[in-house]
Order: sequence, then structure tokens, then C-alpha cells
Amino acid sequence: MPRQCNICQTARAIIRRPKTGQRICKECFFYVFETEIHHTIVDNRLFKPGDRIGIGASGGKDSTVLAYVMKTLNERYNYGLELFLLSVDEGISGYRDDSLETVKRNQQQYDLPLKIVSYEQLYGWSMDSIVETVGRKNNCTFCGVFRRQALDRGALMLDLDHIVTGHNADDIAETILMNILRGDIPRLSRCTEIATMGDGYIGRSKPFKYAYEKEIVMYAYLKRLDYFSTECTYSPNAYRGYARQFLKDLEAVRPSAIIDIIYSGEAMKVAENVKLPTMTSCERCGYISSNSICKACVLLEGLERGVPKMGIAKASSKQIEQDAPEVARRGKAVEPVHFEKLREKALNIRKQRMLNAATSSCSKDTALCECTGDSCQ
Amino acid sequence: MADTTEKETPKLLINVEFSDGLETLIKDEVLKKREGRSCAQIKLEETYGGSPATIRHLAEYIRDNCIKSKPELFYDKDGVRPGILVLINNDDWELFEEDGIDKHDYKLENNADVVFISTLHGG
Repeated sequence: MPRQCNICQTARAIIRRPKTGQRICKECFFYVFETEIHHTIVDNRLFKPGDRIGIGASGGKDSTVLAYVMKTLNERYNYGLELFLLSVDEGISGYRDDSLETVKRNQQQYDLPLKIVSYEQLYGWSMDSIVETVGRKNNCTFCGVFRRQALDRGALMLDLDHIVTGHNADDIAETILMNILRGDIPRLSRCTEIATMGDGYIGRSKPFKYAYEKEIVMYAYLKRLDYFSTECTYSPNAYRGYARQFLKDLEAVRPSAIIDIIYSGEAMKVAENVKLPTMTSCERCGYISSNSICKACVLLEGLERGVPKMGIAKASSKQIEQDAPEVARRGKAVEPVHFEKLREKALNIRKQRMLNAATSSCSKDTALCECTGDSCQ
Repeated sequence: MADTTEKETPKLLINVEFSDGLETLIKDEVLKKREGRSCAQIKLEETYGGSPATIRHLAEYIRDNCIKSKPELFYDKDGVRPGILVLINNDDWELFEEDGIDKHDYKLENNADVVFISTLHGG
């Protein structure tokens, strides 16, 4: 059944676009996919020339395609961006160590500098050691909370302006559903935004917000990109799994379901009488938080004191205190670097860079390796 | 499955690849690694009950013979589980879905390449 591409009318169609139902050929698919991302970036003014952009890179398909497309578009349209791969090593053996190998290959393939920050180095706890302590039930909470901060910490170490992540349309639709199902109104109102201010210093955005997972996977497959696809060895997020399957069932019946849910999420407005938390800074680490102590610091304290239920359990704080063992701080007790300090350092790096740019004619960022130290590669 | 009762009919050889986590569902003895890809060669009958072999027959064969456990993660009551992309000879199988025609009814020829890609796993 050969059929022609709906766009160029000459080549043979190889994919049906979920968004439009168009049947298009390989070259037209690459072109429209990339061009849509370009429009998303330009229409939403995600970046400005000279911005230093960290691509949150896990080695998985979404972030690998993101790195490839960001590099392609930056060159094609002269965005004038400086791109970096920014990876988080959660310390999950048999999973993240393998996927980080993929990121290291991507670094070579795309010729982009790579920075890896690890939980071990930032918090003194790898996910393997956390799971050893808390078991497999709530470990995803630790991982999620720590990852968000870890990316911001890594970004400050490189003095980045902005982090892009590979969240796609399916992910966002899924998150909207989950937040509705959980009654999480603050997250519901935030999760549809294409760009947020992150920790208040480093912006975050999702250039794939309107890109279907099907197209990202097809793009990676047809371009033969090198990516990693193994499920995390620790318990997968069951709730998200249900939302995902539900969404895929809907998509099978009506492919526009995904974009429609995003549209609904964007259009919803939180009622005026709904109380939203006000944001403040964590007293301990300076990270943005809705409480006086941020979630990461609470979780860390629980780990250190041998009461890992802190911050996750429904148990009363009294019960948690009672359960606390006599010997406090049995963990490795790495005090996470205060965000003010990180910001100060970032500022110094910036000054140094400007100085270097003024005195040297070399356009290559020579300050990078000196300033980031240890694991900058 | 009909394949044990129709031993006399010629076989179709189908080259199958499992990707993006689907390979973890497949029995090790079925899979062959080729250039980092998880592949399998599957023999189908040319016809089933008088009609030519289709992608549905292939999927059912995989469900019944190649999956380690939880076949429903590959094939649910209606067919290949939503969220699994299928490429037939490098074409998105959704191209073959027309008014009233199920993409599962696509007729397979000898030596066809079929790729199953999961989008149900994390990115």
C-alpha cells in the first residue's frame, strides 16, 4: 500500500502523525518535528542569545532527542546558545551507571560539555543506600525531591541561565491527570506551564511540551540515536503507570486526547478561594520551599537520624520522634552546600568568564573546567 | 495456536525487533542481540484457517510463545497493547488503518521486518 507524503507529495509516507493524522515521509517528518520545536522555543521566548543552557540528560530517549534537536536548532537558526549536558547520578547500580555511559557517548557524539552531579556527592546518600535504609516503598519520593534540587545545584556550579528537560506532551498530560486525581492544586496549576522560574534563579522549560511521545520515539528510532531504555531497578511509580496506561488507551481511540488534556489543563483556573502555598526559602539550605524547611532537608534529616519516615509517612511527628533511635546521625552526614553559597560562586564564575572574554580573543569558554572543578568533564 | 496442527503448510519467516524495554518481556532463548538490538526470527504459517497470516497472528504467536510472564503487557484483549508502536517494514502501522480496516489485519509477507517499540517505560 504505497502512499504519498501529504506534505511533499512525492516521497512515500512512513508515519501517521498523531496530532494531525497526516501521513508523511521520513524527511518531512524530521523537518516538521524539528520546526515545531523551533516554533515552541521562539513563540514562548524560552531563551535569549548568549544564554547558557543545561540539557537535563538521563540517557533516555526524550533527553537524547532533546540534546540532538537543541544542538541542531541552535546551529540551524543561530540561537547563540551555549549548550551543556547536565546529568544527575542518583547512584542506582545496574540502571543509572549504564544510562550515564550513554550520556558520556552522547557527549562525544554531540560534542557538548557534560557535568554530572551525584546524590552521593551532594547529599551523602546514593539511592542504593537510601533504598537499603527505607526499603522499596517510598524511595521514589526521595529520588524525585533530590533530583529537582540536584539539577539546580549542577546548574549553579556551571553558572547556567536555564535548564531544559525532555518532558513531552504525554508526560504533561499524564501529570495533569495525576494532579487532578490527587487533588494537588498547586502542582496542577504549575505543571502546564512551559517555563517556570525553578529555584528563582535558574529558569526551566520544556521545549517538548507539545511533542508527542510517539514522534519522539520515532525520531530517535529513525535517526538511530544512541539512547538507553531500561526501567529503573527500584519500584516503578505505580500511580503514574496507571495514568500512563489510561492515557495510551485514550490515545488509541482518539489521538488528540493528549493535546486536548493539556489544553484543558492550561485553561483551568484555580478558584480564588483556594489557598495556594506561598513560596519562601528553606532555613537550612536556602532552596525555594513552601515550608520553613524544604522537603529535601526534611528527608535528609530523617535519613540521618534513622527515621526515614520523616517527610513521607502519615504518622504523627510525635510518633516519629518516639521512633527515633538514641544514636542520632548515623548517616554519612554531608551537609548540602547552602544555595546562597552556590549562587555566590556562580556569580564569581560569571565575573571570571566576562573578564576572560574581555582579555582573550579565544571564544572558547576556557574558564569552564577551572571553575567547576571535580567532575566537570 | 494453530501452528502445531498445520505442520504441512509452508512457513513465513518474520524478522522481529523488540525495543525500549519490551525486550525485557521476551524469553532469553528467543532473543538474538544484533548491533545492540534485540531481535528474533519468528516462523508463522502462511495461512491461518484459510486466510493469510497477519500482524495479529504474529502478535498472538509472540504472546503465546515468546513472553516470559505477564503477556498482557504485550497483548491485551483487543490486540497489541496501546502504547506499543509497531513498524512494519519501517512503516508506522497506523498508516494501514483505514476506515473500517484494523491495522492488525495487515497481511505479512515472507521476510517482513516488524519492530515493536514500547512507550510505556520511562524516558
